[in-house]
Amino acid sequence: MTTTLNDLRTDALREIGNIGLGGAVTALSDLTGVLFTLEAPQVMQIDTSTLPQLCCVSPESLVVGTVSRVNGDWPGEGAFLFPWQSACVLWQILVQMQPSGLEELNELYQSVINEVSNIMLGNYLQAISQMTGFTLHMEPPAFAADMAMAVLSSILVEALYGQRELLAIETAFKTPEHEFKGYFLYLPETGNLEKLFGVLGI
Amino acid sequence: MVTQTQSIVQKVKELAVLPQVVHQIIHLTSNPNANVRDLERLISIDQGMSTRVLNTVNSAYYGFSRKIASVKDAVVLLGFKAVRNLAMTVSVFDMFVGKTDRQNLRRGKWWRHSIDTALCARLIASQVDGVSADEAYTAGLLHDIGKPLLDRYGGTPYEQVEEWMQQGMPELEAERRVFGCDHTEVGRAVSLHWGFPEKLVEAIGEHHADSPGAWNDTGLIGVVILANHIAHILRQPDTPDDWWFYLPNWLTETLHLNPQRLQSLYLGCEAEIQSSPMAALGR
Amino acid sequence: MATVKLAGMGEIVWACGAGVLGCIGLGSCVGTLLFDPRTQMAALAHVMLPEAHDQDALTTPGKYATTALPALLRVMDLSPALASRLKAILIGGGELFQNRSQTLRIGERNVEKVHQLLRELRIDVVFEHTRGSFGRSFEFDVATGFIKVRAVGASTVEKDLAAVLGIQRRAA
Repeated sequence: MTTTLNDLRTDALREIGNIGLGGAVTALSDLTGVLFTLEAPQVMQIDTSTLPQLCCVSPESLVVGTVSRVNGDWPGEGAFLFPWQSACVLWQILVQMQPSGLEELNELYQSVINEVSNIMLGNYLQAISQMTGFTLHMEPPAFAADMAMAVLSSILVEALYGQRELLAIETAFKTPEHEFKGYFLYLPETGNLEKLFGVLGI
Repeated sequence: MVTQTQSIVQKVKELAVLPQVVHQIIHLTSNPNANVRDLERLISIDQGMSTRVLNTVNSAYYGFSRKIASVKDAVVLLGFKAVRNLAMTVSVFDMFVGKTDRQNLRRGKWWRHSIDTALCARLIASQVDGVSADEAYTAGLLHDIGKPLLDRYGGTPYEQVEEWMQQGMPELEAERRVFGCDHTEVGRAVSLHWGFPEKLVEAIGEHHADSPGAWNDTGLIGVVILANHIAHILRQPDTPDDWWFYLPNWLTETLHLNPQRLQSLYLGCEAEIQSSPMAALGR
Repeated sequence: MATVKLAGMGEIVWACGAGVLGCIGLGSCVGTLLFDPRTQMAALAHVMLPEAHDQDALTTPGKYATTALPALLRVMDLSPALASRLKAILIGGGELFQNRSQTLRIGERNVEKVHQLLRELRIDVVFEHTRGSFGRSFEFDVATGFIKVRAVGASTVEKDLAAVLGIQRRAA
């Protein structure tokens, strides 16, 4: 790894995940009127063998996911993953209906998930930018609904492209009111970590 | 009348156990349809051996940036043949280990020479026509197998052979004087008894042959003789320019070698021994 | 059913004569399986990217198309000169995220690269279920030559490849 991760740095990345996603989850609560809570973020150095441990979903189960490219001072990929049942909860809350299966997944449903991702990632980046002074821009999210492993691996392979190793900051969020669990992943370019640590003074 | 060879061989037959793995790997080498499954099954029989194979793979010589944890990974990274040769080398080593320090010193030298010869034989075979590099490696590794057997079961300390040699007696003659037979005879008889392929028995039995015989694989014998020769002079402090002068004519003819090619093979062998992780095995 | 050996990302697995090989959840990755009709051996690499970028390829050759094919040949104990007797099966290489503003098209490039390398080795592709915009899982039964490809939202594809692979099934 180009940047060594000691405990202090791992803690810092975890804290950034917390602060960033805290803002994002507040935005989701505002949007849905439902209270969402965060699980403690996990920072993982991914080699391909640890991949199945990411996001606790069964590899062939149906998930809905988005991924957005982030440019600027801390570039990387931001991705959301919702098990199908959780996506249905979001659709039910936000548009008061849900598709009965993949074949009914039309543009409306896609744009709901894209919008949720947009708002959450936007708030995530804003929180980080306030803390670090970084300039960060995100591109519009891309959408996929497919088997979990295929979605996850496609996201990771793209993030891995041109890099030796991959760092993932994973945060799960849920709500006591519904059978819901969502996953957020930030996959920073590892070459740019020093800049972040520099700003944070570690 | 029971000759000395017969009596030593009888003793060896009763006492020397060929590791099962060596036996099977030798047959794997000569079977063109053998595959990874056979090898895996073989190695998994012997837990100690897979550990030693992996230790070697993980030695600094290979320079992998992560630890190779399974025989399966080793096969992916090095290939089926390399792992097979490694497994055989590791298990043949056991046949050279001695009980006393003095034995160990001597057998350690023989072992080093066996590895050197195996590496040289493989390189030479890869550059001459019609000789299998893997068979050459095996033959090189086992060509002197008679020596540790004489040492262990000959009934007389091998030191006596060394004493005669210090007085200028050729090795085979000294062995015959002390034991009544030499290491090529014991090697041949034992490998026959162990059911080695015919070519391999020949290569072990004929690696000191002065003149060609009615052999099945003259090329393989030639490669082992040449490898043996080069392996010896490579460990000598200085190499005469005309080191190939004493090689029998039939050998250079069989392998189509002229002084230029011999010199390039010599340099190739030197580089092979210096760079091979096998050379560090068992030291 | 025989035990299934799954190739995880960047991994290589194999089986001889019997056994089932497969991959779960191939997105842009390409499951590249080679079969040797002579030895009835199959080896499978879960290829993630077309080309190696660094020395990482030394320890995980299955990850990259350019290093995975030589590794498969090493495992099968075949020199490139003899590789033409092998048959290939390719699964995966989809682009799940279709509406990306700027996409690396990794799935497509993986498929192209593997094809190019197979052409150079003169290995025929006897079955292919690649590209498109969806993920796949598959299982290949080495003893029977039967392949099963699953995708979400599409019917399962099953095919008997015994004849093209030169598998002679023993009478039951």
